[in-house]
Amino acid sequence: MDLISELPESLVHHILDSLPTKDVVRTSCLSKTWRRIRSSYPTVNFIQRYFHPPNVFQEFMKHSLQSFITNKSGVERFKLCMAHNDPELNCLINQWINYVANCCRVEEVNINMKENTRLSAIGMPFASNTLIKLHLCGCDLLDIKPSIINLPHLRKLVMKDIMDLDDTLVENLILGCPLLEDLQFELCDKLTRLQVSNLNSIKKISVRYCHRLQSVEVRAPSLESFAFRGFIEMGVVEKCEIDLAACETTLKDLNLSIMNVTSDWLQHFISKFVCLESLFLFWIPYLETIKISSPKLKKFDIGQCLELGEATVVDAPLVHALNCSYNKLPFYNISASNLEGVELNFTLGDHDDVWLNTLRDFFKKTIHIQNFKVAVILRNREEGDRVITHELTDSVFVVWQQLKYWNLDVFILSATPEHWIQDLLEVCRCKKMCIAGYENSSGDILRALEEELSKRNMEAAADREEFGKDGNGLYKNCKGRGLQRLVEAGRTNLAQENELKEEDEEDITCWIPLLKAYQTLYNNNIICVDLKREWEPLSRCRGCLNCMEWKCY
Amino acid sequence: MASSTSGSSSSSKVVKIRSSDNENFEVEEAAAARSETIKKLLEDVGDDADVIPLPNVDAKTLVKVMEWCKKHMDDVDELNKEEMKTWDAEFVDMDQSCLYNVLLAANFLNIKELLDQLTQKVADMIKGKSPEEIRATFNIKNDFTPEEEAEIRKQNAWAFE
Repeated sequence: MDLISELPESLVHHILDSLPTKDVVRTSCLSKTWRRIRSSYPTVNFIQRYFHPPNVFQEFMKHSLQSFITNKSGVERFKLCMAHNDPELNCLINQWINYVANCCRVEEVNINMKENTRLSAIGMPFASNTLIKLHLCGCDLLDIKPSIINLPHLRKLVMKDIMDLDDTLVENLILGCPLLEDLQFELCDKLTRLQVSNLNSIKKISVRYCHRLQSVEVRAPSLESFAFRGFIEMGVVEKCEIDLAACETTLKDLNLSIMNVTSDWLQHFISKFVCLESLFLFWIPYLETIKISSPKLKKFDIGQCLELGEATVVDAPLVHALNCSYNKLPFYNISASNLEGVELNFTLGDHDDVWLNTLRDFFKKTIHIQNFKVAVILRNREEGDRVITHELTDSVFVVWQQLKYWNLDVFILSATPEHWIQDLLEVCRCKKMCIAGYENSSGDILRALEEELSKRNMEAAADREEFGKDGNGLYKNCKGRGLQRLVEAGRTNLAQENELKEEDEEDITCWIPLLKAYQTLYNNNIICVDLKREWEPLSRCRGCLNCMEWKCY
Repeated sequence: MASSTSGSSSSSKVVKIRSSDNENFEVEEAAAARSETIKKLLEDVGDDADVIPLPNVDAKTLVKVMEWCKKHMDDVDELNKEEMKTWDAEFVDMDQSCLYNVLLAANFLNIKELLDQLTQKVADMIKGKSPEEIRATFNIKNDFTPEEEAEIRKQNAWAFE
C-alpha cells in the first residue's frame, strides 16, 4: 500500500526539507498527488553551483517564479546562494526578491552572494509581519530607507559584507526588530558604533571583521552569548571599546578575538561574568598576564596570545574541555582532574626545556585521559606538510628536547583514531604521513587513515557524479566546509626516506634528524604514507591573512 | 531560557499515559516530557493528573516512541554523541508501516528531534533515486498518462539527467 502519499501534506513537506532541490523537483513526476505536494511546497532553494551550464539555472529560476505566481501558494523560505557572477541574472533575482518580499507568509530569507559576487538589490523585505529569519551576504541595499524598517517577528538577523550598513541604518534595524534573539554583523565596513538596547529577547550577538567599528555597547538583560572579532590593518590590531554591562549574570559564552586591549582591562571585563561556561580568547597580542577565576567555566579556548606569561592563573575547577594554541600555554595551574578533552598546538622552536618539562608534568596529571594523539608537523605551504604521528608517550619529550630549535609544529589532541585523522587532515596540508608506534600500536591510526581516504574517495566519486568533473567538494560529512580530496600515492620505507636530499628548494633539513630520532625511539616501527591532493577547499576566512582557522568561512 | 530546575528535581516522577487501544503505560516524567504535547498537558492538569489519554497513538507505536524518549531523556555529552548516533540510526531502521505510524505519532506528540530523524530517514530513501525506483520503494501508483509525465520531465529536464 502507498502509505507515504497518505501522510499529511505538511509532513511530506517536512521530508522534502531534507532533500537537495534536484530530488525535490524529481518527485513532481511520481504521481498526481506528488505533483500537488510539490507545487504547494513553500520552500525555494537556488544554489547556483549545483547547476550547469548557467542557462539551466536561469531557466529554473524563471520557471519556478512563474509557477509560484500561477499557483498563488506563496513562499515561506527563500534561499539563494551565488558562487559566480552572472549579470544577466540580476534582474531576475530582483524580481524574485520583490515577489518574496510581498508574500504574506514568508518566514525566512537567505541571500548569500559568495566569494566575489555582489548583488545590487532592490525591494528587500524590510517590512514584513511574518519574517522570522533574515540573512543577507554580499548585497548592496540600493533603496532601503531607515524609516520603513518594520520586522516585528524577526528573531534572527545576519548581515554580512553589506556596504551600506551605517550607524543610522543599524540603529533603525534594532528599533524595527523588537523580538530579535540572534544578531550578527560581519564585514560591515561603514559601521562605527553599535548600540544595542531595548531588545529584551536578545540572546546572541556576534560582531566580526567590521574594521571601522570603534565601540560596541550592549544593554541586554538576557544576553547569553557574545562574540567579537576585530581586524588587523597593516599589522596593527584595531581598537574597539566594548561594554556589556547589564548582561553580567546571564552571559554564558564569551568569544573575543583579534582585540587591542590590555591585560588589566580583559581581566576586569571577564571577572564580571559570573555564570560563564565557555570562554574563547584568540589573538589578543597585548595580553601579558591574566587571572581568571570562573567557577562555572566548562570550556576554555585560548590561542595566539603570544605574550601571555607565566603569571597567568586559571582558577576554573570544572573545566572539561581545554584548547591551547600557539601561546605560552597557561596550563601551569589549571585543574586537570575534570578534564575530558584537550587540544594543544605549539611550535617546538618557541619553547625551552623548562616549558617542555611543565608540559610533561601536565600530561602526567591528565593520565585519566587515555587517548592522546600527537603529530609533529614540518610545514611547507607550497609543497605540502610532512607529519609524524603517534600515541602520546612520556618518552617523546626527550626527543622533543633534542629538536627544540627547529620550526616544527606540534598538535596534541585527545581523540579516537578516526576523529584524530579527520582533525589532523584539517589542520595540515599533508603530503607525507609517517605513523610511528611500538609493535602494533600504530595499527589503529593507520587503519583510520586508510578508512578516511577510502571514505573521501567514495564521496568524491559521488560528488563528481552529481556535479560534474570537478564536483563541488562538499561531501556529506564535511559540514559545509569542503574537504581536501586526498589519495594515497604510495608508501616509502625509512631507508628511502633517509636518503632524501633537499629537492626542489624544499627545506627538509630538520626532517632527517626528526625521523632518525623517532626511528631510535620507535625501534624502526614507522610506516610512511605519501598523499596526493586532488582538490582542496577555498574556505580560509577573508578577515586576516594569518588566520589558522578553517572554520570561519 | 533558564533550565527548568523543577523538571530535574522531579525526574524520577512517573506519569501514566493511555494509548488509543486503551493500554496504560507508566513512564518517567522526564522521558514523557520530551513530547511537547504531553508536557503541555501535564502543565495544564498539574499534579493531580490521573491518566493522560493519547487518542491518536496505538500501543505498539507508543512503545516505540517512549523507547526513543527514554534514550533521549538526558542531555548527551560530547563523548556519547557517536554512540547515540548509532543508536538513533538503528532506531529509525524499521519497516515502512511502522515508520509512518511513529512519524505521525512524533508529529502529534510534537517531538521535534524525533520527527527530524524520521523525516531524514524517509528523505534518505528518496535521495538520488530515479522516479521509477522511488515509486517501487514506496508503492506509489503512477497515475499520469505517458504524455503528461513526459511534459513534466521536459520542463525540468536538468533534474532528470
